[in-house]
Amino acid sequence: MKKVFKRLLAGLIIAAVLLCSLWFLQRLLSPKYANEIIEGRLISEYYDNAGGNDVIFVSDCECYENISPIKLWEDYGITSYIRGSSQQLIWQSYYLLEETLKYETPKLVVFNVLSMKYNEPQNEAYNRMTLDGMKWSSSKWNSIKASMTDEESAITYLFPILRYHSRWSELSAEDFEYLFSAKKSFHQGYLMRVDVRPVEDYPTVTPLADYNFGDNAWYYLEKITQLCKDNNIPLVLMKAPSISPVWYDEWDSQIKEYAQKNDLLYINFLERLDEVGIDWNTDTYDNGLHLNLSGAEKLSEYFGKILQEKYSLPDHRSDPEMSARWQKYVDFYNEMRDDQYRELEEYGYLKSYGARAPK
Amino acid sequence: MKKIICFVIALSALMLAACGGGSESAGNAEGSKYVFKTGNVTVAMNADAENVIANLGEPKSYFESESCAFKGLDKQYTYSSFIIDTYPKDEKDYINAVTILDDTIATPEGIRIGATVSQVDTAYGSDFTVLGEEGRSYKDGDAEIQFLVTNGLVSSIKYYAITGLN
Repeated sequence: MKKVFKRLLAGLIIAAVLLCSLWFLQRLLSPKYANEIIEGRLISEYYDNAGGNDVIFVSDCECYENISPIKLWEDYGITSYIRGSSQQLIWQSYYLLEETLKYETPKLVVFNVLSMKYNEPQNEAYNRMTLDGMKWSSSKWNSIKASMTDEESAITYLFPILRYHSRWSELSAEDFEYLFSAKKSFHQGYLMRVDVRPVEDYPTVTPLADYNFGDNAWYYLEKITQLCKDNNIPLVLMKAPSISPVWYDEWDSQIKEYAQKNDLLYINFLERLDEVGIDWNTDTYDNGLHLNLSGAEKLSEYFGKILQEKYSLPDHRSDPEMSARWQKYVDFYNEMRDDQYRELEEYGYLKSYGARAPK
Repeated sequence: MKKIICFVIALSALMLAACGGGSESAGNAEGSKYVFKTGNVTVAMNADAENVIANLGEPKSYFESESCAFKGLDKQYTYSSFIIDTYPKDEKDYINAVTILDDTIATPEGIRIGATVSQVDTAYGSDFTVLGEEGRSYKDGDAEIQFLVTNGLVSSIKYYAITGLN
């Protein structure tokens, strides 16, 4: 009896050691997105401060680089979070929203419509940046199934070590430094850039074979609309002001029609550049694809006013507890802004923030 | 107990075994019969763009855009009768698309903007996917050529790179 117990114990210890080793290796080999491609950390950072937001944005870079939740707080006392990720596809937005509603019940959801142009899974690298960062839930699993390209397999999402095992030869200091912790880089989901690279030229618009959004894209837009309805949350559709990728008039008409049919507010900020005050000489850091801090603050100031007036969003600035919480975010925001200006002064570009050196 | 240990060892072996690393490649080494030609310059999809762009001379306009998150620039070179788009990979640029803008240039198969649908069918055959109502998409190797058709006539011709085939 004693012998059996000893063997059982030894077996359990061996199994536990092996499993721990695998878990450790998986953590070590998975990308940390610490200093390069930092967008890979956008999704996971949410869980550190989940909850307590009146507005949730779900979107690709058209929100997380163009809207500043800190500015919304400072000007209007609106609490918000951007659940954004690079090339976030509409089904990923849906499942992220579904997951977010398990953590909190916002008073408003904003969805940026550029991703309607994609009807099918696109790219594993972008999928990884959205999906790997999500905590395990049915929403994550469904998002994986909806997002995988033909070359991908679900098991590599269950066990990322299967995908990343070959990274052992590329391991760097950051893989060890951020083995059990993550760098903090974002401001309620906003990615800050203070540098300026003005618009010098516009892309040539080429015709498309078919301007109709695909069935799959419509299906998930309808699911987002329904999810918001089921939870009594108003949904706002927006198109960020960016000159590329091209937003075709034919696409815009379809969204306008959908918004009207479903009684949703839709704002195409490309039509309101003057009202917002966007100056393409000063308000973009990458020739008009994304806004820099100056542009994002202008857009947030303009958009925040509309949202607060139309949806009676509360001003939380008089709430001491909320104010204390947000003051920490404001301090971090100001600290990063000052540091970016310092780097610009010192190096001529944002060396440690992923910017490319001037030509 | 042996079963548990065997399972864990098998799982470890599975995880550490060499499995698809998933590195992307720039197109298909086999190429495609669908290439764009202008003067003496042949433009194949997924080809290294450096020599192509150098041989085409100064474009009328140039637009570049950073891709979200990843390094490198998507570039667009607009010439008087066509546009070339490139994509970045491993610090090089590759041909992503060519758009013919007017009827001064024909495809090597002899189709230009303004051609009829039946002329397209004669030149390219019947193995196509319909685009919109009357348009045609032909694929071969790592390239696709699309003919957009308006009122029975070709209104746009575009070559696309098909990436990630290897």
